[in-house]
Amino acid sequence: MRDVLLAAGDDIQVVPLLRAGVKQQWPGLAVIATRLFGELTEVDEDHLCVPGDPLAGVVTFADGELELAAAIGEHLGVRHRGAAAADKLTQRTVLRSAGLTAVAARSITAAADFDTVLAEFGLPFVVKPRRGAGGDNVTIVDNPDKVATLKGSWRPEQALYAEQFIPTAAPEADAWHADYVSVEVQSVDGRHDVITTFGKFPVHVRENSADGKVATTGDILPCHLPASVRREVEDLVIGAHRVLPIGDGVTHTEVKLGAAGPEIIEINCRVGGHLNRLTKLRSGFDLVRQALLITAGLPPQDLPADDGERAVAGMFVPFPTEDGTVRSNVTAAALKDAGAAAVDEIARQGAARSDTDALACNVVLDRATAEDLRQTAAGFLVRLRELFAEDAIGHHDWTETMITRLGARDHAGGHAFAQRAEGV
Amino acid sequence: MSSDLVVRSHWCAVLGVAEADAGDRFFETGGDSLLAIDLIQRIEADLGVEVPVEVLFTDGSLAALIEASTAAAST
Repeated sequence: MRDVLLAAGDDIQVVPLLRAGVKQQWPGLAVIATRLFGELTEVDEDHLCVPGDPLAGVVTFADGELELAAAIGEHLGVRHRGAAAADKLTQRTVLRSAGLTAVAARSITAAADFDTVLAEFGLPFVVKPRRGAGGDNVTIVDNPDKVATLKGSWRPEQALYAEQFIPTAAPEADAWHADYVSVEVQSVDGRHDVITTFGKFPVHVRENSADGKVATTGDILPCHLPASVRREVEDLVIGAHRVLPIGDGVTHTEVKLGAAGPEIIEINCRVGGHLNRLTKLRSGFDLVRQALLITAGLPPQDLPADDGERAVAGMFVPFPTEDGTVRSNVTAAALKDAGAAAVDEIARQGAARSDTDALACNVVLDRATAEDLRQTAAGFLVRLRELFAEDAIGHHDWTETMITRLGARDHAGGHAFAQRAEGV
Repeated sequence: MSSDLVVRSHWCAVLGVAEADAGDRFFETGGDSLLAIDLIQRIEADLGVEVPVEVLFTDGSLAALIEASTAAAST
């Protein structure tokens, strides 16, 4: 809500459309939203009308509302983004037909389909919801026990699909970047342009999760990839945008740095979560504002310059396990003393770990150079291990692994994928 | 209780901290939109007036919120 308010400025009028259930569940939210933006309109699949002055367009920043936003936009005959391309299985199918991916995918319409997928793809393979984002409910299936777990818990409303696992180029032991990146693209009147590309921190696979759930852990600017590799990645993403029915707006595409070359993981038809704070910090570019401008049919902002040494990162530090309550008492001030430039979220002592999606904290790091960022991130996690000692952070978990990797000397490019592409 | 104390005490309670500096910014010290709503509602319940909520969402500093709340309470 705050991002939208700041992005709208004085020249874009935002008309909030709220699901009827949200107003009942969060009355305070509705009151504040009314005071910030004006009268709210309640909508759902049976109520697509928006009274008052005609809208210029409809946009959402939530994956779960892409279809409703598209339905409203279509009903009103105003600028909107179609929802068809948001289905990840559709994406994979179209991209494969266009020769833009080698990854095969299958729909899961019955529990027995997991056995069929296992026989066809072998291990490992990946199970995802056809709609979803940020690693939510993504499962890497690497043993038969996980297949059995998925079969036992399968329900048709999960709308799952399975796809082949994309092997990664073997990472250097001390590489601290993930084996995937994200590309943010704007689409205006059929023209697609890269806004910027983010590096990532490696994902966290939850140890106590019998089905191997994956959690994303953060984003980095500037992207660490060598120029030629980055071009290859971005060209692939733009090519995908040309063959999919994506429509105008801003998208967030995740790309794996595969052993055989870059492979699109998925395209999310909305602004990437937690990224706006980083682009605004590094270049002043507002992703949310760009989405609003494009939706409103107004001239978009100039694309950000991607130069400069300044390095920024958002980091979501996971608890080793999802269950239980937070034992440590850690303040935002302590995290700032440890090197965080800003603290967006922090797990409170006594609260359920699940309240923060099993994250100890969500912070921003802001340094003069990438090397400085690496050192700061390393020191931050070392301190975090002390602060969250009672929650066992930093012991046989993501944090411990990252402390080792961040502390080790990073080679140029920081990833074996770069070596393959450069012919080294 | 003065507006200053009302705002400070609720700010600290919502963010779960013992104390806060005037320059602290809500959304950079663990605050989010839902916590912001909680904070505004608590302040308004105690002061009995509507506080300019946009101050918290735009400036976001404790100092600005205290100033705006004090001004609202004195009108």
